[in-house]
Amino acid sequence: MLRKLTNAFGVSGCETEVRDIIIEEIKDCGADFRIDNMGNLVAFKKAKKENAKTVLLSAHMDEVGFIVTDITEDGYIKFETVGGIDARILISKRVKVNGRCGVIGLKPVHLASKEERKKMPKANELFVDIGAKDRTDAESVASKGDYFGFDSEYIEFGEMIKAKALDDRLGCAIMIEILKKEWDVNLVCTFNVQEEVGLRGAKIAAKGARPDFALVIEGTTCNDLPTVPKNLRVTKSGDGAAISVLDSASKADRDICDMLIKAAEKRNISWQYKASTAGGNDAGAISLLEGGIKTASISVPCRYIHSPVSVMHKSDFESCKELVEGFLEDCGKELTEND
Amino acid sequence: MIEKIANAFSPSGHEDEVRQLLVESLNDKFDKIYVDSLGNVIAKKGVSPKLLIECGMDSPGIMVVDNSDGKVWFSAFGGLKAKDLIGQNVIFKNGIFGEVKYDGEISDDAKISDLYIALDTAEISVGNFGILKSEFSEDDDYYLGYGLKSKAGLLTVYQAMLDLDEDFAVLFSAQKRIGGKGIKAFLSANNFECAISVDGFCNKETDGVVIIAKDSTAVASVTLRKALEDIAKAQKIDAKTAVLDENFFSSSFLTAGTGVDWTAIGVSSKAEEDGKEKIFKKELESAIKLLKSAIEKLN
Repeated sequence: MLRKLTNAFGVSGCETEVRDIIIEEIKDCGADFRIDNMGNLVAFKKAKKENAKTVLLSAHMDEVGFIVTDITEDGYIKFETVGGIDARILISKRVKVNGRCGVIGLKPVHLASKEERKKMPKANELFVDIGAKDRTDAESVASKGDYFGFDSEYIEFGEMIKAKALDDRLGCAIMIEILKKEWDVNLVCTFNVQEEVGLRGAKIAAKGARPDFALVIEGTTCNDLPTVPKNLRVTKSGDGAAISVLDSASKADRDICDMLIKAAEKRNISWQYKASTAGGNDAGAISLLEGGIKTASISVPCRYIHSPVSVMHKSDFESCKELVEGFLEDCGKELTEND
Repeated sequence: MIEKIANAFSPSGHEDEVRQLLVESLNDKFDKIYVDSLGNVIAKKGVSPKLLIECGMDSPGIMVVDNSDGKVWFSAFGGLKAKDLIGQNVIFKNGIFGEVKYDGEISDDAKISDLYIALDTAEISVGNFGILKSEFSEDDDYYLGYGLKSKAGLLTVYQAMLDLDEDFAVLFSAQKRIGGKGIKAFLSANNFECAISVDGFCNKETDGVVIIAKDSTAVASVTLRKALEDIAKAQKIDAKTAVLDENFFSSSFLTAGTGVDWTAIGVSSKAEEDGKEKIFKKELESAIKLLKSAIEKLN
């Protein structure tokens, strides 16, 4: 499932391909679903019992990518980035433009001046070579305003998975698995559009759900790398699902965090705190809706996030899935005990 | 009560101590008082008051990101800068406190990620929150302490509203120092005709109590601002109109519901050389008087 989801194209604003895969997966699982005007896919699955709590799970379908800004006379594509991409990772990467392979090119080192060699080019100084002989040829493939994304296959190596868009197809994959099961809570699963360009889809998708709790499932920064000192490491690959406390978009609800930690410890599920206040996700939008919604985030650490080669540990993905499931079980049980 | 509020442990999202103080002390003074999902305290007089008074409950603080080898490393939030922290004591919820150290030469280049708290304890974990230890004191003219600026609005509002019979609501907002989260969440489901925020500010060029004409994001309602100016004039309250480059979350108010007339009362705080913040009693009294008169007149 994750292979299929991460190989799909879904730059912010163009999530149709991803959404279609998800619909195909969930259409027979007993959930109702709708697509709103923005393109968010919202699935509802009733609890097995009456008077159950409502839990909203949220993951985003979109990925970072590019938009065509111009096509040069000699057939190269100029572009800007969509979402947060570090320009340093762009040079020589493969992209796919409307199904056609392309590479992000740069003037060769032999022809670069001393100053140019020292300077990191900005995205708008780069270009995509799709092998077109001239503008007319290139325009038969792409037009101004077209979106395109990284071209990178899902690959498993050792205990790791490499793919583009792990952030946040991993969240989509977990929610699909969860929707296929029966729960003692009413489930609202929002597969959001446009998270990478300002948490836009979630603001609409989560409206009206009025859940008791909302849990955002995400891919998050992992920088357990040789050059990074221990006190600056946000998460560690292989150490389990990451629970956020505070980031630049939201403060996690403490009750949900406590429930998640309890659920993890009860079931021996590996977990870690996300040890940073940087970054942000759809929790920032959801938590402020309709008078405030108790919201938290749980993530899978992803090295090289927002690149074509994001890497995650299989066990972290499993921990995250098990922890979300444990949380839902406990939410269902809690009400039974209090009844 | 002032000392209790000043000393309360209330980093953003962990405002429990202030919340408890408010709920306990205001319970019999309002028709309705409740805590919402984000932790805001809302107190109401009257059935559906049209006037909202807002002040923050939280303080800037730090979050622990690593604890190893006798060093507690942290991130900061709410506008705390490295130079504000070096040499100060940070206190945690469990009462443990320690001094913030920096191994380099103190300069504007110091980064939060280079600072640590010299503490060899297993009782502080990743995800714990801390604030500057307040070390509150007062003399005849002023209150003094670390982080007092963030409490100036709360001190004003708390004292202004106790004896009023008019219909109004008060939003003691949670998570104000991390982007006005409590304000935004509350306003997403509640409508008011007009609102007045009260908050502390640090500004070298403007002293005393100010009526905000514009903050860093939007302009205040001219009608409401002028009404406050008239009240100040009539009551002989020393208040100036000011444009401040601080975020009072004006745009959150102005665009809420069908639109809210909004302005703010700012209470200046002076930063001392050691980082403590000083609020003059005379100025606090002026702000209280102005707010009290505004609630009476605007009803």
